[in-house]
Amino acid sequence: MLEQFLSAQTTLIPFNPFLDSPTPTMSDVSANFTALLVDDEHYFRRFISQAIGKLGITNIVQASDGTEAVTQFEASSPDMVILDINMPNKDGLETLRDLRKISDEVPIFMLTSTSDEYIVEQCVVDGADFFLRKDVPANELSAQLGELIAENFPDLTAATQS
Amino acid sequence: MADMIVRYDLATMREEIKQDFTPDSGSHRLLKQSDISKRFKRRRAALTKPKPEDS
Repeated sequence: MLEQFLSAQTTLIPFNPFLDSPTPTMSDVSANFTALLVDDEHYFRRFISQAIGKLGITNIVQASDGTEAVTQFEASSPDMVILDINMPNKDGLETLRDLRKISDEVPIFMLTSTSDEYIVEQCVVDGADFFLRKDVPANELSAQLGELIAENFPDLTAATQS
Repeated sequence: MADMIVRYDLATMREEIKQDFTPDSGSHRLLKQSDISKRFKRRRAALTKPKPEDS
């Protein structure tokens, strides 16, 4: 009886080394991934949303200035932040410092048309994780964003490609 | 004479402006993406570098 039971179990449930830790699917990973996108230009937020949406990031919280960004950051606990610099009310540098007071771990990527050496250095010192110039052709910017996300979130990229 | 001075000054000023605002000179340099990337890579390397142990 016991032998029959065990035999039935082994035939019905073949050995699966990934049974306890199934490979995360795109929907598993990206469903839990949130990006905070901060830019005062609406059309640019839309463009970036579409670009990172193609990379599997669909939970995108948006803010149009630094003050709103801090509020959204605390409310949504994003996995990454894309942050413009030239914005009304509170600029990107001040926002970067405020966000770093809240969290040291969430990657913050500056995305701006400013490429002044002083500003870049400030971003390095204040804890930004990377800095992309947005005054480049759209396809180039999309490619750079893709590389940046693949480098920083390999799980997300792997799940998107599977 | 005044005409010559004005011409000279304009030429000098033009040169000074060029020096100040080209991407490779002046105090407010505009960086290329490759230069920006290098600075952030250096920062990342510095952050991941193991600290010397206190003996």
